[in-house]
Amino acid sequence: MGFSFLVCLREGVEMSLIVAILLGYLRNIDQKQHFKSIWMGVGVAAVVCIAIGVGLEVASREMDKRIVEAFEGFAMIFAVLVLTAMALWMKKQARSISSGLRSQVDAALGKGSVTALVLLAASSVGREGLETVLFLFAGSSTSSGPSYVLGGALGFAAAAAVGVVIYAGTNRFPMKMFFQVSGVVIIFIAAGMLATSVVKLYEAAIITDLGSRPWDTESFISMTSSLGKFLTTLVGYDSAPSTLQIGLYWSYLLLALSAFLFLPLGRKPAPKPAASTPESNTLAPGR
Amino acid sequence: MPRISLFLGAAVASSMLFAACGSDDGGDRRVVQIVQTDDACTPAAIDLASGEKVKFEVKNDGKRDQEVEGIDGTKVEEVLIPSGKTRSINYTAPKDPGEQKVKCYAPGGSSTIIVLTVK
Repeated sequence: MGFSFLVCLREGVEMSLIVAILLGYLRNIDQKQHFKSIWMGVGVAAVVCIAIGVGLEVASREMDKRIVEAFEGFAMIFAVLVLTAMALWMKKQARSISSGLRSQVDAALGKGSVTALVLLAASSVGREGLETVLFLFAGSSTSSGPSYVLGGALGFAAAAAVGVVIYAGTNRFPMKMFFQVSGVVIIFIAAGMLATSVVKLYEAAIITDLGSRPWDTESFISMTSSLGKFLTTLVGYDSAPSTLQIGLYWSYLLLALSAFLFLPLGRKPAPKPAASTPESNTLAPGR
Repeated sequence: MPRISLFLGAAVASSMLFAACGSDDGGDRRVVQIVQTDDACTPAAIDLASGEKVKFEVKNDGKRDQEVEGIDGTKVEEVLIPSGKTRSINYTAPKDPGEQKVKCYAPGGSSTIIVLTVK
């Protein structure tokens, strides 16, 4: 539940941010009649993403168990790559995402095309949606059931609330801090996922040996207990991790965290905000 | 930075709260020992009473990490048992009499089936 909550919260806030920027900008330029195009785009993105998610789930039920495990293992590794890129990218882009979207809205309106506006909303929200589907699928191999769905629903609900706050523009949502904190959380989740991915590949008989296991904390937190399963999905907990898991976990964690915290991405002094865009630091789309 | 750690603390605390939602029903369970070696799994058959709650203690005496899981609809969760380790799996037998099946295997290797007979 914690995993699906965090994934949906983080991805949901990105979606909310995009939608709030689009709607806020249309409101500011007196083009509120185009709101429905944005919502239509969001709807298209939702339908496509849900269809892909259901497709993945159905396909994985039909497949042979060993193939599913291989598929999940590779999905996890792919998710780790995307998660890492996303954390680094959001750090760099958080400031310019708003102006980028605004100029795309201008371009779409310039063409006088409603379809272009629908597509803009669908593609920018859909990209986040596809990431969500990938992460939820990768996480569902170690966790599932009603609580997994509930966690996701709560995450999206919280994200929607954030969207309303951003759109209202009255309360300055601490966007920069949100992306900073959730970026660190995501790197921890990704490290665990990377460690778990090799167990899946072992179960799929693709890796034949995981190496020795230096410790066993099973009597402290059992792998088969609720807490153990929760921690496995969230941070890749293993009561007796193999040397391969430990090595991957720590090398990834150290590399990704230092890249995220210390690389000077986006630390360049931002161009002086013009007088007309005093909100550029908070990303608030409205006034 | 202090605000960030506060945020992280809140995130961890709320996550733990979520974890507490699902509870394990421990209580009095009959312990059933299962021992895995590289090419076999014993015992081959286990008798259970209708609706009986048991705890399988699976010990892997093989060189490779092995798996245990229920097949053909048997609700025994899939668990990886590292070489030399013991893992516990809780199981509740169905009410109706019949046979349930648990598979033991090393990935990519041969497997053995334990038949659970519910009386």
